[in-house]
Amino acid sequence: MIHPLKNERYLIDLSCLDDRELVRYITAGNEDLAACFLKQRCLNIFQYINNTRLKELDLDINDLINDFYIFLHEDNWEKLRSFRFESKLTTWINLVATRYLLKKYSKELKEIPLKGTPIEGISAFSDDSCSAVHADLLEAISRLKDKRDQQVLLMGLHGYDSPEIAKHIGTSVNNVYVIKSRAIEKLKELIK
Amino acid sequence: MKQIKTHDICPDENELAMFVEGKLRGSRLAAVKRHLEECSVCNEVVRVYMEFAAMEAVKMKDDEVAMRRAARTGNNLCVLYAERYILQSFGMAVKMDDLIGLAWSDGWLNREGVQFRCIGKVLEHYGIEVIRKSGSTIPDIRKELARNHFVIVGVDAGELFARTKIRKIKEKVEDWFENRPDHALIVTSVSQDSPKHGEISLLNFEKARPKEYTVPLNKFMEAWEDSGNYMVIIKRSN
Repeated sequence: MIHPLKNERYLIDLSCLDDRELVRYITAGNEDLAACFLKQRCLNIFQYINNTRLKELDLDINDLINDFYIFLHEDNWEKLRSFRFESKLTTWINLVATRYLLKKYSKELKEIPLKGTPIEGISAFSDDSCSAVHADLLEAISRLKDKRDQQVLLMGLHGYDSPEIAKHIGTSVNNVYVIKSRAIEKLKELIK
Repeated sequence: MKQIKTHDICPDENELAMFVEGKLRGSRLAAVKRHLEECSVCNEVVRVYMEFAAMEAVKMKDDEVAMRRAARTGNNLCVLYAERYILQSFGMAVKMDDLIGLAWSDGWLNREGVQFRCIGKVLEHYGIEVIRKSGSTIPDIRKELARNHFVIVGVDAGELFARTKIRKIKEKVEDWFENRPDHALIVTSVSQDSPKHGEISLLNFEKARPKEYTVPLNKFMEAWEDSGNYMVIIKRSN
């Protein structure tokens, strides 16, 4: 069993390696680098999913990362070798990690209800009968320049209400209303 | 929306990564969008990732603001100033804010400054050839300057520029415990004399405007040693 998070020797500075170098060294068998890569690039998304989607399950983040490491390591890093360098490696690995976790806990996730209802305004774009969000809406949100707008809208889509969003992003509830209404206007412009 | 159980026909993470980065166009974009309409699993993957990415970007922006504030008061941008100077000499006028944004988003710059191993990354981004070497010697520097290349060296600034007696003692004490290279300089010339009598001229970029210093070679060698005699060669032409 590999414990990439429990060993301090995995403190390698990755910022000087580009994506091609990282993939080359990891697939060539540099396990220290692989462990460090997972710790630095995937820990945050694992924590995020664990805190927002899997909180009720009381999972150990170290175990999640270890399992993911083993999954990636399978068949001589076959998954990592499938990366095509058309996007950033960090984006790709975070999507792989997201799919991995959501798939692994899909059964449990179905039993956890969403925190609330989609925020006002956005609900007009989404289909109430299903938790899936309209692809045009997702694409439009990804095109919003202000990341704070994206954050507020996406948290709203996840079911957080304005006071919860305000608490989470460290601003006032009034400010959340302002950000939200402006962001929705910008979204409508993009979707037109 | 129809829910699809199988993952066989789902776009792989390469396609989804391009989608969330806004890089997909035409039929590939249409195919992913169509799939996201039909498959609630992929839809959820993309949505969770986008939530996370937006949150991270906001956090990063907050950090960047703090870093820029630190940059205004400190000297943690010496590498970027030096690189901008070199870009200018190549005829490329780049705004400092753009360089900070580039170095920050690519992870070469943090609040303390640019990591030594990342010196030259900005120049490489602009297509300039860079070579990094540890364990270099004064003749190596002379050789590269003779070839008309730029040379950036890593040094312990305190050791090189310490003027007060107390500061000098503090530097000595620090050296007993660890080497602390913390500054980058451009070398403009090295005299041919021996280290005892020779001098070296350096461009110092504590602020936007470079300041030229000429220091005794033996003093420079002490400060340079702390970086493992690290130098970055920037080739003027291929």
